Amino acid sequence: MFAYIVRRLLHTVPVVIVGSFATFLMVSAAGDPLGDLKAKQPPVSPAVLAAETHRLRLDEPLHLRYWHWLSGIVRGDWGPSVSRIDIGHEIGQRVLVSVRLVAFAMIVAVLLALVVGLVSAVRRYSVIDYGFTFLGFLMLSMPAFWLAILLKQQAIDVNDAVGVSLFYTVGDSSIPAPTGFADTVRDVLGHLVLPTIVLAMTAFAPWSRYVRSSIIEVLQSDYVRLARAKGLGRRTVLVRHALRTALIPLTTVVGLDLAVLFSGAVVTETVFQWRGMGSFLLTAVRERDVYAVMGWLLVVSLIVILFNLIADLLYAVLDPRIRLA
Amino acid sequence: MSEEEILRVEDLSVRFPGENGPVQAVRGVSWGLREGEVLGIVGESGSGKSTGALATIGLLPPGAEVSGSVRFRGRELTGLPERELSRVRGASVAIVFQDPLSSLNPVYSVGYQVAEAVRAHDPEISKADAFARAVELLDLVGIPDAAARAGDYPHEFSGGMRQRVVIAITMANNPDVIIADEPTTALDVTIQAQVLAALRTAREKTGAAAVLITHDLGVVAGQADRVMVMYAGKVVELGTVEDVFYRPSMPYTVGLLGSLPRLDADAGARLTPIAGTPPALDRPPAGCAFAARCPLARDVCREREPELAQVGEEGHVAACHFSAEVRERSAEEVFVPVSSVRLAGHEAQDVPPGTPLVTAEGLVKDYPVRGGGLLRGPVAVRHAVAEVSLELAAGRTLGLVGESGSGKSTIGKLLMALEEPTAGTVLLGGAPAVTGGRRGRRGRARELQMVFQDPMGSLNPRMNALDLIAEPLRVNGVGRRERRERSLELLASVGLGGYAGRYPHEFSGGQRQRIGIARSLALRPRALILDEPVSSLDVSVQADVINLLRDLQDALGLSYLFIAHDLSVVRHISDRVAVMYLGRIVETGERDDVFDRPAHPYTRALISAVPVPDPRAERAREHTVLRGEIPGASGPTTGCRFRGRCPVFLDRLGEAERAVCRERVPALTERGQGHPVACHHPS
Repeated sequence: MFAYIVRRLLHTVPVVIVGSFATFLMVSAAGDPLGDLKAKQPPVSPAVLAAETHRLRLDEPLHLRYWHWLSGIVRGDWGPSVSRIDIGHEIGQRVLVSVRLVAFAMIVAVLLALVVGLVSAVRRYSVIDYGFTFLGFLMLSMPAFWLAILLKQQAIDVNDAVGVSLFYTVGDSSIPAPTGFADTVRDVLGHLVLPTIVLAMTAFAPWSRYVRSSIIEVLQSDYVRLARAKGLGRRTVLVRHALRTALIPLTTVVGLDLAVLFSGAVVTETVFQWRGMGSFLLTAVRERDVYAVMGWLLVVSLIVILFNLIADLLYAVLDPRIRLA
Repeated sequence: MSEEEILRVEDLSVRFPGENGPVQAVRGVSWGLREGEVLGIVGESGSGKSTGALATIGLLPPGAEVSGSVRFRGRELTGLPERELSRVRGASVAIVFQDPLSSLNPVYSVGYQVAEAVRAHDPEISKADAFARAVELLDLVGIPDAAARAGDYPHEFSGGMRQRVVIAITMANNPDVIIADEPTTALDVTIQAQVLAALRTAREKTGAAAVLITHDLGVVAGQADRVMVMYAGKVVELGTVEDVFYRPSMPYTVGLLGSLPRLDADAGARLTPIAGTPPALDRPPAGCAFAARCPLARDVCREREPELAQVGEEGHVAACHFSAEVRERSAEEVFVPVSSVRLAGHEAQDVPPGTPLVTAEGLVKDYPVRGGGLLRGPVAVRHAVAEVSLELAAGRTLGLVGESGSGKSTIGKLLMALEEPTAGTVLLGGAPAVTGGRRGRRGRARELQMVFQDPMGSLNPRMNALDLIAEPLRVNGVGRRERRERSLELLASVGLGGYAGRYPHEFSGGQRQRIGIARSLALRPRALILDEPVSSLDVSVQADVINLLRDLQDALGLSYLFIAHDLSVVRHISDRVAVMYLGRIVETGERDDVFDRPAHPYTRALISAVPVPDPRAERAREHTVLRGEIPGASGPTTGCRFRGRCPVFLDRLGEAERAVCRERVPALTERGQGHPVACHHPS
């Protein structure tokens, strides 16, 4: 088991290096980070420009710049930022906000997918199944930002109608932040509601289809037939034999979809004006802030790798046939 | 056995929705099961034998429409709500399914799954007590070290062991009826014998009556008290085993018995296949369903469906207008064997029969066994094939037998150069064959071709019959026109002329195998490697393919390597036989020498495990049930690799003699004329 984890992590090293180098090339080629500075009227002095060029390592060849970034990361240096922020510190503050959203959305989406998938599979070709199928495809085809905007607008209308702020529609927490543990938790959870719904809806749709088809398959399996032949009740057969085994393939899909969930989070956070990883990335891209983008990429890819590893370990727990050796 | 019936099925019909209207899988079937008896239900795939049995306790997939009546001890079961039915299932009527590999849930331990059955009908019992009872049951069905293994998961057990677990599940609640649906179909004969023994234990411990559904007439001959023959969803004959086997009164039964190669019979006799295929059950024929395939059919058969009527003995019924006539005839007189091969434009080999075409010398194939750890390096070596030498001669068939895992298929791959041997050489026509890479395989393919077990899986579903057969020609650069001519010719020679444009799914299993055979002949090879070519086919179709292979051999002087686990088929078709165990040939010789005078304990055990479709002979035979199973990489690496299961080593040898088996690998040593045996203590 331990050897497996180590081997898996070692496998990811070349992936991260190649991926980050490709991103580095693309972001560097996207434009001149000093473009805004150079276009200023009245023009800034050549000395300032030269200093900035040196600070942002633009006077070095591309491969050296990448190498310095990579070796800096190992030392805990995230590299210089165009907008002079401390990249490491900024990401540290924002990453929790985003992970909170993604984790909640994932849990909600998995639960929803299981319930909807099970009901659709058992009541196959019924009105309920067709209803869920329709809902699933609706969510699948609706862009996250559109759903987010609709929900936000609805929530604002409701708030206006009631006259009290039932739903939080802006930010990841109130400003100023409430004091006391209970109040903070309540405040954070309240802000989570709408974005979680948006993100969960987009993720749950394909997952529920997946659960549905794998349960339909399991229900036709010989071991479910044997479970019935033993004289087990219908509910026991469904939960203990069908749902339990359908969890196994779902784990893989959820692990793989995690990266998609993070990109969904970028959009959702933007609509709800969260100070998370999403707005960080957008700002960095707009400013052509290479090292900020690289920092974002590194952290998010590490999170995705970690979650995939957890999914694989979970897979081994759920399925005794899998031996992680 | 009392005369009282505990299960009575009356006019049972099952319909499934189908593309061309409902499929009538079971059409008005009536039968009864008496206290304590074993009723065998036989028939080919699609005859409705399994569907009819599953319908009795409502285990059919959704969509099935069941009508008629099923009474268990007088209580009507059809129409009962699911909740009531689930109280009957397991407690009164228990089932063993066909495929042991898929009947257990992979995510729960076997002990849990047996305990679950115990708890299903006894909610009072504690989890610990149920588990203890599960261990007891596993021990009863012969799981070694049951207490320790109950916590293991299904994938840690072999197929035979899993089937025993399922049998333990059926015993959990002392049922009155055990339905065994093809319980040994996918298993080796040695394992089949063990599972049948476990099933017998289950019947004896619970006193249950049993319904044994199988297509293996040998199993029925040995196990059943009465036999019911089904065809196209109907019962066509029912009677005691002796009545049905010795006085068959319906042409289909006669055909089934005649199409079966037998271990104990004259191997030279031609089999009598039943031509054609069963009717499609979405449009069952008006008259007798068998009329289209029956050589005795007359107008009345096609117009009026025969009813089951008593024929001669008390309780022996058959559905045939001419049953009296059928009883007077033998299989050969009903189904006159005809050669189905037309070989225009083929020329026979230019060498006299018996000339060695392919010779393998000292073939070895090792596979590395990878371990865990960081680098996953090889930690051991599995000897799949060890020092095997064999010779394929023109016009002759070498039968290669052994349980699964014995390495027989690997030999086929080595000969075809699909795998590189670790050591050893292959000679083609006396000269060493080019080995390695694409050129090696190409060269080999012109001399040697292969026919695979699964005819569906080995034919590309998107190519029609003509293209399938033409492909080897195209790969080898034969021009378009010649390709077409030769392919059409080959199709005609396997009896499928006129079907060139059809796709694999439009053919029956036997026809697909004919296409596979035609394809293998496209490059005019000298020898064919037939890897289990008939094991996925129904017996009547199997006979047809076997006859075709024989005819082709006679006409073309081909050499065959016939790899199979079915010893009856091997005896029927082979000239010489080689028996393999764990990668080594342990005995080889002329067919009758090996089958009539087996010298290796393994060969003797294999032969004794094959059920013979003759009730009196089968019950009179002495059966050695081989203990244990073929070991994997964990088996003994020194000395004789069979000793762990060898009845001679375990029961008859003294300590000094055993030491020899432990220390020295027995070499193939000549005993009499061309009959070498690898055993220190041959009989």
